Amino acid sequence: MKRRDNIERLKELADQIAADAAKVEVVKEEVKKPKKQAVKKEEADV
Amino acid sequence: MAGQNKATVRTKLRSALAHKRAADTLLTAIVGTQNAWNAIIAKLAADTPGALDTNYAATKSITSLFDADAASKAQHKQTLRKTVRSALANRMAADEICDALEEVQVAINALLVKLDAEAGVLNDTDYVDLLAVAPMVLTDRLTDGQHHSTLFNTVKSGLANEPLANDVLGALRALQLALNSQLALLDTSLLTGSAARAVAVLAIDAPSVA
Repeated sequence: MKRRDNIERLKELADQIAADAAKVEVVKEEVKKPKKQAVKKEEADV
Repeated sequence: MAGQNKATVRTKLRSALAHKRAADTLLTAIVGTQNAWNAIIAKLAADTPGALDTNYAATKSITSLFDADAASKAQHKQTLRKTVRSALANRMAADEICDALEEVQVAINALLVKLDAEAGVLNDTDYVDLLAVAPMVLTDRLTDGQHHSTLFNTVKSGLANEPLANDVLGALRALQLALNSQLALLDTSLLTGSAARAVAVLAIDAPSVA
């Protein structure tokens, strides 16, 4: 692969990795929320 | 030291390129990349695979990427790439130098993003597959030069200085090899031995003695 092509590929790859990592973080937060809400509800029920 | 050998890497390259600003820009980018790489290596060497830092990109990215095609502010508005092409009298050799430098910088930045995406545990095994760069082969023949000379001989001839050609090409190749070597280490999910991937920083204001 020509270096110019590889430079563009690497830039796009870094953007993609960062975007994927950001999505994972969002999913983690979404998973945490119901748990926190469930704990609060349990505490309220008690 | 007297006479010719008194010249530094910087003064020799300024003279060879017949362009002070272009020479300084190129050398600053090489040394800047070497220092940035060594700082990354130091951070990796101090890090732990099971509790990996997640601030590599935030703290260690190369923010000013080498751009050989940026218009020069100098009198003739020539880009650095065109200046190097002209000095070497060889488009392919000049492009190899300019693009190899930018490529290794972009690969390093991508590495930092990938390390952060590990989210604290070094686990990926595709560092080499995704980020390795092709090291320059100094004995490769350039196919479109009139005499089909090798990369090294073309640069040596263009710069009219063998030690200087060694300094410039050697610095770039060392960065490429160090990056690839560190990527291979990361694929094993280990960081022990990272320190050995640091590179020698080019002493641009010292006499060229390579």
